[in-house]
Amino acid sequence: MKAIILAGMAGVGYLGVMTLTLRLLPVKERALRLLQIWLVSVPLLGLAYWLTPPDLGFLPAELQDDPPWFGLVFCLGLWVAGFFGGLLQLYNLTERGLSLRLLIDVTEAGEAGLPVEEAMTGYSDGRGIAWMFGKRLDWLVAAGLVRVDGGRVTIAPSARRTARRITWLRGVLRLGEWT
Amino acid sequence: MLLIGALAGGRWFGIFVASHVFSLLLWPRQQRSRVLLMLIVAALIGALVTALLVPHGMLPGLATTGHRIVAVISALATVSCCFILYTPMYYVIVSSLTGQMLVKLNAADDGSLPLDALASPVTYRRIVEPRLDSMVASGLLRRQDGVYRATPKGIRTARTFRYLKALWQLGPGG
Repeated sequence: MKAIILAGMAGVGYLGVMTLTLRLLPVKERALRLLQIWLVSVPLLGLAYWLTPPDLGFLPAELQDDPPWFGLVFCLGLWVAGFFGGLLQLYNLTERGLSLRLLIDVTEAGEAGLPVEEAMTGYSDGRGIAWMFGKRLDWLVAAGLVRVDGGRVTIAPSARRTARRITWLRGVLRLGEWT
Repeated sequence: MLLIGALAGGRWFGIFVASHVFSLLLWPRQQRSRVLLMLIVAALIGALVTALLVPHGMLPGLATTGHRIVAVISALATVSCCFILYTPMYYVIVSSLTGQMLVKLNAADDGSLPLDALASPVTYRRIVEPRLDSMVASGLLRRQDGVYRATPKGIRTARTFRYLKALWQLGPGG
């Protein structure tokens, strides 16, 4: 239980630091900054686990981590999952989720609703779906995965393997058309 | 019992992955999110039952001292954590727009396409309409005479994320 309690406390603490960081600092590459903060938190959590007593001052013997060596492993494993699968995904979804943004736009249209055409032109407070596409393309260029030259977009050699893996997985899983 | 619960959870998550992959071959696209949810709930129930029934001395050479509740919590936590790591990877393959752009470019001759071929009103509609319809299938929106409106569930979801956007000062985004 110590592993779970400390990992939970790390999550709550990180959420506080993350919120303060996003609100107070002019952060350009936010996701990278969140990852950097997490990387600092990992050894701190390990240290906290090592320095605190097995009962945390209140846990009865039958609720303590057993075997003791696995407690630290489990604690850090929970924190890895909690960040990459939880907090980072929540941030990404909130910041750039396409479906979520469409949902917000439709909700803000109220009872009048939105047909598809207006959902595209009014996407993200009127920026339009083309703006979203341009943003994705800019990210791919900045990450070195594609280059844009003379009205043409070319995939970088380093990105081809990723594209082939996705294509193969989609074929194996019979996922059909993109959604 | 922490280790025993984690092992039970890990095993059930493995069963979940295998059954989820298998389900993709059987169920139509519109039902896949629902099937995913059903399978993970089944895995959680399986992990719970296993953790409740697994004997204390299951692992040779390991004397367990913990209460069985530790195994239960550990098993459920393991399945849940593996699931929240698995789901983003699955959705990158299924619906990531960035992934789709890379795949389309890779399939083109010499890995290159005109910008208009990659980003055009036709392409946009092919992306936006299925997303809206997917939200209709999951109960967040309803569609009538070609117009999409939010359901109470959709309104609650939108409100939650609008609050997070305000809290983290993220702007409209998307």
